Amino acid sequence: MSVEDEVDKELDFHVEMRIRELVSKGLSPEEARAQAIAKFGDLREVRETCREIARGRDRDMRIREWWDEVRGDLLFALRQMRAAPGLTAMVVLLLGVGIGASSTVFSVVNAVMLRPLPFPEPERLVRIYETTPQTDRFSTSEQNFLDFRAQARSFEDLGVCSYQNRKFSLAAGGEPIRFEAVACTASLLRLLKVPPSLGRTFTEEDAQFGGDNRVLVLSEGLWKSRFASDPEVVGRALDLGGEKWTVVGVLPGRFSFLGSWDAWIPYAVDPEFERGDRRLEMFGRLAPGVTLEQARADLSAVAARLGDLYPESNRDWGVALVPFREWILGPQVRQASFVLGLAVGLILLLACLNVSNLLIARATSRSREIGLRAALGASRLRLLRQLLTESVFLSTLGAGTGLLLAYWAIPFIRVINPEALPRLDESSWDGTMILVSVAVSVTAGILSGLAPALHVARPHLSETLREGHRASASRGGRLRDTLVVGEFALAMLLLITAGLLVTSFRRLNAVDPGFDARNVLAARVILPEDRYPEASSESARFYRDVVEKLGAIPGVERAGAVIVDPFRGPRTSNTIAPESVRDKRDFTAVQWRSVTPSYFEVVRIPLLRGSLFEERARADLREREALVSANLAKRLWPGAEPIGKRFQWIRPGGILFRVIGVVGDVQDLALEEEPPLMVYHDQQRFAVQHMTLMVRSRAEPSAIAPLIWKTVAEVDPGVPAGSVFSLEQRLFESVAGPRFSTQLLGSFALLALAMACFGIYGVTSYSVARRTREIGIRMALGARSGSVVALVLRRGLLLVLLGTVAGSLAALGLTRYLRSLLYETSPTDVATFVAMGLMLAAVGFLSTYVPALRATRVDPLEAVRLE
Amino acid sequence: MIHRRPQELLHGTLDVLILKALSRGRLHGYAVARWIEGATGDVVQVEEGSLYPALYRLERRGWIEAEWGLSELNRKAKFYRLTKEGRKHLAFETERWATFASAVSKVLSPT
Repeated sequence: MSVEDEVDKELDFHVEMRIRELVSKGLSPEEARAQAIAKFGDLREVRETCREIARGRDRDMRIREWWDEVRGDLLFALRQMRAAPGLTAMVVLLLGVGIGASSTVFSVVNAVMLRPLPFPEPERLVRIYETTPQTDRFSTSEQNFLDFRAQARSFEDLGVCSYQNRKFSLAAGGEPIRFEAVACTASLLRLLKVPPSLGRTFTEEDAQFGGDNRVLVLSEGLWKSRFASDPEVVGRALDLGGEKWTVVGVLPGRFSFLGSWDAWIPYAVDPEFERGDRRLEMFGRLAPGVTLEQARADLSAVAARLGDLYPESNRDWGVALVPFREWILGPQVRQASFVLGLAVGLILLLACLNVSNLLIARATSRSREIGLRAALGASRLRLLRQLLTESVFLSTLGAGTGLLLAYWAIPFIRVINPEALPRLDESSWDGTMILVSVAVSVTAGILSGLAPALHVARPHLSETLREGHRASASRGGRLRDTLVVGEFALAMLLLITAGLLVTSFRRLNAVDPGFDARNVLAARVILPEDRYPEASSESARFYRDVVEKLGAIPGVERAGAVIVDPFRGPRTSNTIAPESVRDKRDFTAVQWRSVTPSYFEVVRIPLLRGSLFEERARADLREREALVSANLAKRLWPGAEPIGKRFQWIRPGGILFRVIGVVGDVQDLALEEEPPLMVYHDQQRFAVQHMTLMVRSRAEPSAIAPLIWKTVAEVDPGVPAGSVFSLEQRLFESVAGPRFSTQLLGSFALLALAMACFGIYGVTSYSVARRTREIGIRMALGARSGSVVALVLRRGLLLVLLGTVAGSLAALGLTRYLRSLLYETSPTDVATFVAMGLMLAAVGFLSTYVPALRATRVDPLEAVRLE
Repeated sequence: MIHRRPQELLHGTLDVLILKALSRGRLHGYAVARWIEGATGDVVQVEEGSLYPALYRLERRGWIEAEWGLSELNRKAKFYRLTKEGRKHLAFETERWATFASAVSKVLSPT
């Protein structure tokens, strides 16, 4: 009865009764009716009010009923779980592992990739490089920057910073504090749009060329640790190495920008500085509404104009724009995160398949009970809901387990991967992750429970009542077999991915860097700019003296220095060409290193031809000398004797250098790249400010390490001390990224393997149990145990093979997306495919063998009697 | 409280009267109205306009429950009776009303 009918009928009845009463008191029927209705007041309004309340009542009742049903389902699920504790534990564990792994990976990927960068509208920030046809990422120069800034129309602003940071030493009552500051233009901090927590950032006045410019913006970290969060720090004057600097502001948070800086100082752009000398790193913020493409076109046009105006320094130079996120992470990290995410998704899917498998077996055994429910009036939907409630409940428990696992796994990952992935230390066990885990667990629960639920709650439920346990079980068995094939396919996919990464990593790790890093200690020296101007004889003398003193320490075999910070930077590039070349376009891009003469012996770079630099540069030397790497010699003077040849530096008509020796190829920046064409300069003639000291020790390194900075202090106590690291360790860390991915993916692959084997073990045991009668009969009829085993094995092996092949085919199609992560390894590397296939097949075979063996222990008599 | 207009009868009061009416057994809406009039000696005239919304409200609250049945005259009617919750509430309200009434009459009685 509808609410309207209900109310109408009730009120009509009342009116009738009232009329009867009034008539009995003497009124006429018409009068009685009129009075009866009048007594209601506004009958229509009363009807409406009652209807509304009645509707509310019905709604409340429906909600209560629904809630009761859900509670009932949950309680039922709980009873079911208690009744089969082993099964429950396995399911919860499987799902826990799957969800835990995905939560961990999610938190990592979230921190590294998904979380927004700490700048407003970070997608508008770009890193800008100058490019030549030979080098695609180069710095910019002062005059170029000024012209770009003036002429570019698609940017809100452009800014630059100098990659050469300054080390400061602040004497503050006690131990001197050392910190690093990066120099940047006022426009750079402005375009980043990070509002200062205190004070302000730079103005144009702070960064005037030739001005005082001694102002400082502190990072929050430095402010907290060294200035005790003093709110009055703005305006304070600091004595830094004899100079007076003023603090003008504090920048919030911690964000890595070309490194983690403690402070920022202004960079004054010199409008007269050589246009072709490029040492600045440029950044920009796109103007609102401008796309990256438009900005690219705009800046390229400016670059082309500059190329026409200043052909000597700018001809054929272009620009490259890289969005911040991509610049900070690098394409490798994006790809690696993607692969990780996919891998963990596969693991989760595997876990769900396994759980499905287990639940189908159980559902089949309950098919009678379910058929009974149906006969008693439960709708199919209701039954499905009840079965799904069970699996979602299980997976919620799994999620709890998984979150616990993730809680321990995340710090563990942070520990085993100190430097490789940027922003990894931001990954944490937090609300977002929990939310994701819950979503994942509900999905997993539904996924796992869908197959068994649909399998059992079929349309013609009456049949379920009638059919025997066996028939239902055999249908379930086929379904389970299909799931197992799927599991093996997934496991194969993961194994191949991991195998490819392992192969690639092994090859990367085996790359010969061209030098011997063992027993070499290193220390990076940053000379204070005021006393050691760029390319000055003071720097040259300093390094010569330090290296000489270091070499004299007992236990030290040899000492030297080189401009580059191994496997970190900078990439010092330039162009050269043989003497006769006139056209700038025919110049070859090279990397150059300024070194002390002893450097080659310290790191054991072989001298292939000619001779090295002399220890004490002869004052009467008329020609400049240089060493070249073997690949460069082959490139410039193929087939000819390179010793004695001359090359031009930077441009046609530039300084000439004479080759006095050829050394072995070296890769000291990025192992996955080809060894660059290298030119070596003697630092006594080609001085640079900052170099890395290298010391090869005979004795125990820990004895030598503290002596390094002590020696530096002896030569010049004003040079701030830094740290000492092992070159071997640095080399090890340089492949930390690929190592991390490989380890993680390898673990996932093994996990997948274990799960797949678990799956087939279960399925085979189940199949054996189902066919006990048949096996018993066969054995009673004289079959040998061997043939029984073969019978069971044949089936299991078929499943394994199908899965392996399916997985291989899928891998063939998908692994091409791994290409950028693989070093010297083809995505369809045959050896890997075959090896993984064999491994999977072997392990799968073993997993079917054990239950197959058990089949032979079937007692024929018992089996035949079993129904 | 002679011939008070029904709107002035507090919701709560009408509810309690209805509950009391039903405490003696199943009644349909009309019977409840007649019982209240009778029991108060026709002092309280219940307006149908407030009675039926009160009944629906009480049903929604869960203090009374309803089912359709046959009246004395073999007509289909909706019968109400108290639930356990309703019984509890009736006892509670009865006590509260008694306390209130005695307090007021103490104030109003001639000193």
